[in-house]
Amino acid sequence: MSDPPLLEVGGLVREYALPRPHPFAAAPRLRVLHGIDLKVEAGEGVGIVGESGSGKSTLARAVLALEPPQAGSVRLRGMDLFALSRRELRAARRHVQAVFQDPYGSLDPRQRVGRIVAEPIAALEPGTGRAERRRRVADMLRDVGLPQAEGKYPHEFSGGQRQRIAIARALVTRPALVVADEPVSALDVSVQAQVLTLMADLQARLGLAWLFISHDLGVVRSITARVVVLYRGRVVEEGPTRAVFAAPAHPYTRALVAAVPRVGRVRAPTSLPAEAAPPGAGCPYSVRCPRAAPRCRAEAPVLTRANGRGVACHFPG
Amino acid sequence: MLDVGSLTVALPMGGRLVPVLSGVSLALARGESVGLVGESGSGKSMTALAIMGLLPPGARVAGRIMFDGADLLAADEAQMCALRGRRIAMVFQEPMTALNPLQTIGAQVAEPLRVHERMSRRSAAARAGELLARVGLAPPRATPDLYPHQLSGGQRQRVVIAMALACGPDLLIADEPTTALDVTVQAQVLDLIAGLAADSGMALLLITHDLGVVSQTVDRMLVMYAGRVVEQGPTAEVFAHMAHPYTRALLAASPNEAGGLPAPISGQVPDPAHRPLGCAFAPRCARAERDCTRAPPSLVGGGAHRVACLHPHVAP
Repeated sequence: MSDPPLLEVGGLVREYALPRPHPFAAAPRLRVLHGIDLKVEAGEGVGIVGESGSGKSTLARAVLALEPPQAGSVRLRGMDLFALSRRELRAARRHVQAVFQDPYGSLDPRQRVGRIVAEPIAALEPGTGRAERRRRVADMLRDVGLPQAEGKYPHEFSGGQRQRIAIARALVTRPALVVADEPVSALDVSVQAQVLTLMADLQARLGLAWLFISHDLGVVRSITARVVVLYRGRVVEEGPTRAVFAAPAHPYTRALVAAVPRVGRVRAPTSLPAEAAPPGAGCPYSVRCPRAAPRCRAEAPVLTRANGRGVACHFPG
Repeated sequence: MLDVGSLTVALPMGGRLVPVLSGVSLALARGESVGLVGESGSGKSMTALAIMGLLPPGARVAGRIMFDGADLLAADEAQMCALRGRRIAMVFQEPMTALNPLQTIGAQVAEPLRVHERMSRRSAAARAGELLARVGLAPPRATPDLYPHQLSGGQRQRVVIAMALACGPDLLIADEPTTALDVTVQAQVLDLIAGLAADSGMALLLITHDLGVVSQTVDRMLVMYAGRVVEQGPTAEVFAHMAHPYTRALLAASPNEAGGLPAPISGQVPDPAHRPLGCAFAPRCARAERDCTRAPPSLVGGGAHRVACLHPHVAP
């Protein structure tokens, strides 16, 4: 039997309780993820795209084992993260780290960079000696292009440099997978390009896998080999990034790709009406879809896979 | 209608005045749309704040800002208040901070009408309802008695646009109006702004770092770097014959359709207090030669397309 994949998410369902309408009523529940399946192999860059409310960040929090799902599993090298004891989970966390959007909010302003980057070692690998810890922090800061930054404070760095510090902190425990939730959205284009280049370089050099979550299709296209498109908590399309963006099969992916402003191309008038309540049983996209037929409103399509691509649509193409 | 000439702004930083804008000129005719492009620190937002008379205290301003024949640099605060929100309106990036969380969206859209047009409560409310419908927030999906927290980001930005349009401004300044929004919502908001400008003859000054947005939304564009305009011209012409190395570097750094990694621009935008003596882009520029370090080049060019570079890719 072959090795289990690095990350395997199966049938993930996540619900949040909404405020009770009156004190004795049951709290209504909002289902944010409707049974997500996702695989990431070692060394692979996978992008998750979708609009606000598609469940991208909820998926990230589940993969990081920050919030338990109502159903489904998250397996890291075959280990079910939510079946582990606290101690085992702590050991597993070394292998999955995170980088978030805001390079200002995610670093403690009163700690020196050396201490910020060393923190995951102290927390997750408590047996590590001081000299080794120091050496690894120095190596990591050099790898992200900020040698000798240990003694400085976060405010002495620009936004792009802070994001490099956050990347150094994420990589210092030598994780196999890094979950990056909108890691370059707050940065200027030229700085964005620097950080993306660094991420691609680290992926190649360290054999890292990235789960790259973003609403920016251009960014996802530049850094991932495979992409998963989420719509209202469901995977509507997946496949090799280039193929999916060049010839989207799902009408939602097509609308997303068409909406990206591009130099030298006239923007097609927006065909997407604003958000509306999803139908009960049918395809969640049918309320916005220009191709929706009666079948789409009656019956939700399932994700069907062929030749490395998958699409959940009754009328793909 | 708007005529900004040789605008120079210096701000006090660390005990001395530091120039943030140097000789920015820009003209905008009625019904025209112009884009200001550049990275953080290029001076694009500072230009907008100078036009609105909203520069931080202690700023020293020289040059000329004329709006419909009136000298805005000589106007006092009362005169500026009469203009702001009525004839010149502004939309910022973050819609949540521009809205009052404790007031309904209807009341907020009605406020400029009550203040500037002295409308009665009832007629202002009726007009606010019309404006909200015009930006796509009509009943039953949205009603004027909703609060900002009940709306999505795109809907909030529409409310801000409705407020900006309430008094039928002659000039709309939109500073990164869609940067915080999803691509699909971004497309809707840009269509809305461009459509309203076309219908009403309003002039539009769009500030953005996204070259794709500029290319698809405005007639003319100005590329700014370190407080100066480095290239300007009709949008299609600038993109067809990009002359300044910075304009090309900015495009190469943007995620592109071909996929693959965008090319970073080496180095950083210079700190305003330590800008190089010559061309501010020279330290990051692959085409820089010795003459680039002597004095900042000025904008040259025969027609509407002009570039401030001693060694441009193409002579405009």
